Amino acid sequence: MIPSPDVREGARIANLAADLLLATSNDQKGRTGSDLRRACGDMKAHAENYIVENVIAEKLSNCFELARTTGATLSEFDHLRERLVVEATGSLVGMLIKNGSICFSLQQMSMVIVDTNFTSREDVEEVRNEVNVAFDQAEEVAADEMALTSYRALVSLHAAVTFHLYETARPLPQMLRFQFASPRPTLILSHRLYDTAARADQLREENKIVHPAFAPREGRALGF
Amino acid sequence: MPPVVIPQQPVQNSQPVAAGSDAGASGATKILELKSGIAWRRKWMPAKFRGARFHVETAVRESGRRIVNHEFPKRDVPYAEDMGRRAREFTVRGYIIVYPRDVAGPGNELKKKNYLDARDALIKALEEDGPADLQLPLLGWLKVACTRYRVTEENRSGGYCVFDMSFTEFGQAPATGNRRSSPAGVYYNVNQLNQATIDRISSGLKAAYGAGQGQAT
Repeated sequence: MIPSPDVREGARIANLAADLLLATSNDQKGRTGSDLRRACGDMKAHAENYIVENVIAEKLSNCFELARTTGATLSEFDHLRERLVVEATGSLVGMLIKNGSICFSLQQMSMVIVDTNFTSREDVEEVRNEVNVAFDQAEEVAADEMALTSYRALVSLHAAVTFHLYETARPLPQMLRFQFASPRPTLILSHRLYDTAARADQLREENKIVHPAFAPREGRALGF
Repeated sequence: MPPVVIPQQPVQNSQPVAAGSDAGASGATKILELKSGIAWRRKWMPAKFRGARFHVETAVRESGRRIVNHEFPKRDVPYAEDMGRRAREFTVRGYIIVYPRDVAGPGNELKKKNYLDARDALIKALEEDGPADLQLPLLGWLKVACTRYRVTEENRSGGYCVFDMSFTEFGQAPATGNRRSSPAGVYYNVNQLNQATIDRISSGLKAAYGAGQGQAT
């Protein structure tokens, strides 16, 4: 079989997605990691056949799903999405696979967000801004393609994620800045801020303090 | 001169005709035996709100369509835009009155010599938080919220109090209509987008080539 140039371009995009998915979990061991490696390897080896047989969509979706279950993070999926967005395509097949992969990334990003435990409103706000940019771009593309079903599904998912983030942020404390006159141990900072020394570790992790006996004068702490 | 003959006048029976029985033989017809007008009685239900019973003097139901009138310059014909159904509102005048004796058993909460218990129960039900079921004798059943009530006691009418109550249809909050709880909503929409994406790619490839046609010759 000699694939047409369109199919070759589509396979190139699928291979790129598979490479980026493999890069998200290169340190993963065990069954889930091997499943991902096998699925991505299969995709790279047979992408052209899968396009011709019209089963590439299910295979790609499976690769993205496996990447998430293996532990791919939100920023890794976002990086993958950004990498695919800038990838130039000149054929219909390439464009379909590229936009489909971007949608798969957005799905997995949404699933990762649902499974994430946030500690402060600022964290949620940051993720929301990141996700809004990603969804806005995909919605624009889907609208330009006149892909009505995809556009509606994207808008619905965008709304669901935004609502989830809003619901998540509501009970969380705000992150506040503090400033003391001199460097102090985190135990003292915790006691001064919260009336208990038990949250010293939390302050150390939040401010990435090298040594807990010498916390910087300025830093960030949860509002309550 | 011949005698004047006065024709016999038909007997004017003021009693209505009883249903399936000889009215004349059994005497006066009871109102419950009327064939005409008995259908509504079969639909009659005791009035209650949040389980608190009361008698109803008048019950009014209001609704309609929310119409916005558009009138255009230099045009004779307006346009009445329909923006949906207006919320149903009920204005009820009810009362609670003493009964000559206490009647025990379920459904007889109003048949008490002490009417204050039923009055206080209704007041409590009207002031309680949240929507509740309102059942009116002939206007059916609906989940409503009480917007306002007024209870009137008069000295000259001892053992009798009047409730003027206003209810509005509770309906359902937009968030609980089609929207699922936040994680479930995300899962649902992820599946929807996944299916839409797969369909989009498959149909695009099929439209472009058809299965097995993407080969260079």
